[in-house]
Amino acid sequence: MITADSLDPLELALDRLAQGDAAALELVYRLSASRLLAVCLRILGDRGDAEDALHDTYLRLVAKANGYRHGRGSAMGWLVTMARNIAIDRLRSRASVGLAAPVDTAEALPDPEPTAETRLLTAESDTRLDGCLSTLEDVQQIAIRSAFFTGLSYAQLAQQRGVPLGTMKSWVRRGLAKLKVCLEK
Amino acid sequence: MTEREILAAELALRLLSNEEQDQARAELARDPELIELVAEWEALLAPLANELDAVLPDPKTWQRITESLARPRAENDNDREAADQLRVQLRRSRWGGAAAAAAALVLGYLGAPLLQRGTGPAIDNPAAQMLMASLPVGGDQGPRLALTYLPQSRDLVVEASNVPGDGVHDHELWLVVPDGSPVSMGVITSGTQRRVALPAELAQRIDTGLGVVLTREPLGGAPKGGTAGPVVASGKFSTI
Repeated sequence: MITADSLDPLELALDRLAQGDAAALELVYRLSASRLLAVCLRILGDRGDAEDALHDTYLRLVAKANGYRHGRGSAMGWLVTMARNIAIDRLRSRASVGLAAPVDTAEALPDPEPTAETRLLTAESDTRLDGCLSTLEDVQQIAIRSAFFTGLSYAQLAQQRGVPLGTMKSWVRRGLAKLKVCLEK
Repeated sequence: MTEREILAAELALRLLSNEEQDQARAELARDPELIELVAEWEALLAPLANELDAVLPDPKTWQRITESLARPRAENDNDREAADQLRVQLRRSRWGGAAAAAAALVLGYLGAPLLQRGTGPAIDNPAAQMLMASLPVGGDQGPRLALTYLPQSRDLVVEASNVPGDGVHDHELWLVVPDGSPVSMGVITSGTQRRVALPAELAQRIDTGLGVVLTREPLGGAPKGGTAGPVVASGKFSTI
């Protein structure tokens, strides 16, 4: 049986939102917005755009409040995915109307070491994922991380890195296969 | 890893070109298992976001969200009945009066009791009650403190934004038990979110009118054994 104690606060707040408790949205926001904004900002590179994506994320959350499924990843992970997809949609629609996307190249990678404070706040510090990523070849790990943090497509990643499309695909696919095996151990 | 699993991971990471994405969408429509695989990959990879430093949003973004929700259906709004019900509740409960709430925020300057929310909806499990306090220190644009108490862990999440530093003062947060002395929760750092574990005796009393006070202190906080500095803002917790 799931008790209140066994749930993380964000999960509990999402449950309340899904049950129609409107006040829980503010709690969800307080517990997640700063992390989701970091994700949006990383992808979009522009503060105003990122705040807009954050706004859209919580509107979508209200529409899909009962979409979170216990047991498949954390509540924060579910929200991160939602925010990331919204930010990527925004990035691609911006590109399609001819605005240059602010793509940094080598700088696209996150800081290698999260700060102590971030660690402290990390409800789901996933050392297993970190550990498995570190078993990949550097080019594979960098390609997967870049894909996650920038939201760029294979073709864009290949261009950014100055390698043929096939090479980028091969790095990512081999890296993902290895990652999967490691995570399933 | 099968081709399908690779495709699922690529969809989760959004690696495909628009054309490939369109093709995959058709495949997703007739393959619920693929949807599951994509969701699994999304859940596996999402913790990467923990590597990013949190960025506190502009307070206006929350305001915009509540305004958008209080409005009747937007044109891009294709949500379901559940969302409509939530919307109605939101309008009825607190956010319909967004202007009034904003006025209360602005008025709550300098020691006046700030933003005391109405009692939230009844919660079945009292142990699950969470509490919040907000201390806007200087109106809409000004410094802002948001406190959220998480009963499971007895942690207080303290978020501070736009708190200016003058180089010679710090702001210190205190919890005040009625008829008791204030207990310091430490100096506030603007632009950060941190968790403070509440001592058990304070946690027990948090829902019985515990006050929150922000004071201006010398750098590093109030001297031990000395008196606290001037009160910059105060507020109370309320159940949400």
